[in-house]
Amino acid sequence: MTAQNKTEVARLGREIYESMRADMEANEWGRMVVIDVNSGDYEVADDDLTALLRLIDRRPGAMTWGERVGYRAPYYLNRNYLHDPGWQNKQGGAK
Amino acid sequence: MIIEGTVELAGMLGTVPILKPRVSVSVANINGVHLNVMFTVDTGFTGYLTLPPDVIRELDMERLGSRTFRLANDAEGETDLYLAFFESAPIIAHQIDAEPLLGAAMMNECRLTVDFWEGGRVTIEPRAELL
Repeated sequence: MTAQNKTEVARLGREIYESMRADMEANEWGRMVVIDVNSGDYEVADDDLTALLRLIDRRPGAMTWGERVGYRAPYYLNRNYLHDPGWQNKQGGAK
Repeated sequence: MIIEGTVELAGMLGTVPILKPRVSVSVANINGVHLNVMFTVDTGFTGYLTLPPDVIRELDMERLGSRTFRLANDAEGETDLYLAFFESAPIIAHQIDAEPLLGAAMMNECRLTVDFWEGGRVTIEPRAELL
């Protein structure tokens, strides 16, 4: 079975990353590691996009998880947009 | 290519206007199908773009995984990740059910100017195109 939903991708991605964390933190600090959670294959690059494109080129259909080595999260948001129900009513729609 | 837009009145905080720099950007999927989307420019978002689920569905984008976001209140959350295209160049779009955001990665090596009043002009110009 292949991981599809967000929770499962996150769980598998974190599990695989934990197994490589020590090596990554010793050698790739600050760089982006993108992992195909179904095969365990991964790419390391300075940015997410570069690593992602290399990985999906080699592994079409990859379901990826990404970590910024040495950091808690690869992306920052300055506002809690992740939990903003009703935004379309407040903002008048997306388009 | 220069991205242009306008500062819009998004609401009021009591007597204080809430102004947001907004730009219209044509986003494409891997098959070249385009959709014009209105984005709020947000330098506090470190990625390229966020798109709400209805836009992702309309463009029938292929999901390529998930990523963690760290929020200003120190909380974290996961979002789904999609491959999108701007001017034929690949970019990453994160699905977030909120107003679409255009982030810092999209403005890397660009000049961002904002006339910060209602109706003011917003421009994002690539450094390579500056005179």
